Amino acid sequence: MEQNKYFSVTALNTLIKSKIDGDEELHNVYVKGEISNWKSYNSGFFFDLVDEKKSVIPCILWSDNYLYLPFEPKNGDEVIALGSVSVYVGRGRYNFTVKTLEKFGQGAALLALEALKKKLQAEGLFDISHKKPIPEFPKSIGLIVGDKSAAEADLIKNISRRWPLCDILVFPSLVQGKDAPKELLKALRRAETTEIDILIIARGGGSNEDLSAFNDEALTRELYACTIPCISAVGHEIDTTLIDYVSDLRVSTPTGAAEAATPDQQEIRAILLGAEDSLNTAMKNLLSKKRDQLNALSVRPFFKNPSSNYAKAKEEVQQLSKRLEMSLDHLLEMSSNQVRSLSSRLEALNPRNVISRGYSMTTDERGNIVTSIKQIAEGDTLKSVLKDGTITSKVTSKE
Amino acid sequence: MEKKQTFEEKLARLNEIVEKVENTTLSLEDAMKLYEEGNSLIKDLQKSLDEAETKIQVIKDK
Repeated sequence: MEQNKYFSVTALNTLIKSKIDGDEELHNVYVKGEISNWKSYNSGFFFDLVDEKKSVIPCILWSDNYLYLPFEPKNGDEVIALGSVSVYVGRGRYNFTVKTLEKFGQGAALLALEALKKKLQAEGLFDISHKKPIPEFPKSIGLIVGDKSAAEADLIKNISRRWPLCDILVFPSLVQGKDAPKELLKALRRAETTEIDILIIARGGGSNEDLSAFNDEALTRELYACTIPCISAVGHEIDTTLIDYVSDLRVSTPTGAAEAATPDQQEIRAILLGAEDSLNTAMKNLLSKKRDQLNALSVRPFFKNPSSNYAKAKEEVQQLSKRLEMSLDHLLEMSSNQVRSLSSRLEALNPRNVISRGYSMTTDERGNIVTSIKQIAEGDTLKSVLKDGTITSKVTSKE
Repeated sequence: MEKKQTFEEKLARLNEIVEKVENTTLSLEDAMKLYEEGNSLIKDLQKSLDEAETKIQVIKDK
């Protein structure tokens, strides 16, 4: 046979691969089946999907995609797989490369949950505007957790380590199983009768079924109406329950809830030390500023030689007092001159002065000055006052 | 009245004092007063933290 009339095995397998891998109809298809022959390797997982007619398709699930599965698959699980058909040239085999797996039967429950979520969302239960702020410095925190659960221990440890100033009230409840929704609701109502600043609802990770209590409609509505700011930490990051949507804050772990609910005392202590530093520095700066101001003042003339400011005033006072003194002297002199001239004028009028010049003054016996002869008669006694004595004489005649 | 202030209120007052002392022109006397008040608040708050102990209470169905 001629060489161009036959394929190599590789060439044939490669042709088949290009036909199958290139067929859009075989891309991103859902297949229902039961898992069997589950085998794990470093790179991923190999298993078969089998149906009720015992038809089998080999499947590959790479490790990267395994990480995102919502559950841990095991032999016997009825699943729906999403993936694409691909050919392995080296073995001449085709297989189904799985992107994700979902447990069969959960579809209906998930649909119902999705519908409930849409309804509550439409009613505004998840509105951001309804979210209450979480107080920064709570005095009391309530915990709705499984009795003696890891979540409870984790929360108590972290809250008391971070913020020992707040008290913890624990409201234990079932957190999975058919009675869990009712129990959780009761615990929530109990919590609402107490004076707590923050409520934390927490539960560790689990399967969708385990977490289903936190999708309960009555519980979700009660939490919506609850006036206490609420933090939810249910399941892992990828599990989101209705409680998470309605709570005021959603975190992925109990530790995260403790961190969201409390300040860290180490941070507050650092702030206090910082404040102390700031006060000291500000005070030091202020003092040195005042000292500078004082120094600046002390070099000014007033403080250098305070008397200089007074010298002028002093001079003025001296001049004034001198003037005052002078005018007083003048006044005195004027007065004494006046007195002197008055006294000399008085002196001039003194009759004794006239007498001293050779005149005499004559009086009668009673001392009346005789100025006219009519005052006297013959025989009267007269007294004459002279410069150096008095003469008594008798009138013998008058003319 | 001082006693009734919460940790949060005291911390807020402390911040206010630091802000004032750092950013406003104060008389030496006012600054000293604030400085003393701030320092006593710091001591007070540190003491609260040092002495705090979480009280845990379990409340079950009656």
